[in-house]
Amino acid sequence: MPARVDLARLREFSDGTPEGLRELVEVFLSDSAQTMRELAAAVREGAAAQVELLAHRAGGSSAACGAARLSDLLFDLERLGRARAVAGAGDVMRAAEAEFVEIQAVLGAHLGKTQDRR
Amino acid sequence: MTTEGHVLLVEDDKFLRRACEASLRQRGFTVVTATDGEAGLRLARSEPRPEVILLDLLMPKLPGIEVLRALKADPATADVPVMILSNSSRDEDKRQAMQLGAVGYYVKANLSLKELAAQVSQLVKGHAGSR
Repeated sequence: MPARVDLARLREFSDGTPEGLRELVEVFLSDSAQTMRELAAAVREGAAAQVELLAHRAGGSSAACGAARLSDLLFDLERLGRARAVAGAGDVMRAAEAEFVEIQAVLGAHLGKTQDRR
Repeated sequence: MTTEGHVLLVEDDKFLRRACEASLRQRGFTVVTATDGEAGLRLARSEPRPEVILLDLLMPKLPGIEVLRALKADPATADVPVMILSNSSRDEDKRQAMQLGAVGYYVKANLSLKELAAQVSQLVKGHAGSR
């Protein structure tokens, strides 16, 4: 199975310092967690335009940092939102949430390692 | 303080905004950011005028494609180079942006910050030369 998140790509996105990488990972985790919560609420409420916008936003950052499976799921949600067909989006949303939990664990462990090195 | 150039970054995603902003600042650019299309358009028309605009497409309040249309229709901003940062790799989205006057189109999944900064640098030089 491919890596859930591409740490080399994340490094490329940081300023090259361990602190910069750490800050970027923290921004990704906190911002994505909030967007995922808002997205899950939008899916529950059937708010298709919000689903499209929020899935697009979270999909962009997950794609940029190499979280390929999560970004695929979010792009599926974005497409459903754009087609105003979010009635059956619950399963995709649950899969995206589960994937995000795994990514949180991977990146959380990475942050723990960098903390230990300091 | 000298600057490599003034860049306006219009992006609603905090992670990408932070990453692009940090990368450009590190290379000496002055960066102003907006989190939605309306604020982006307002900043594009404010002083100091940006020399390059990096623009997301799907954003709150005003979509990037409408921001691009408005920028190109306004003589005060029409000559500012606009580069699109998008999730979409669809040809039709790229074609529409380029037809409206964008000078480049980056798909976020393939985005290299180094390459982006180099492109911004070239555009700033070109923009300065055209004035």
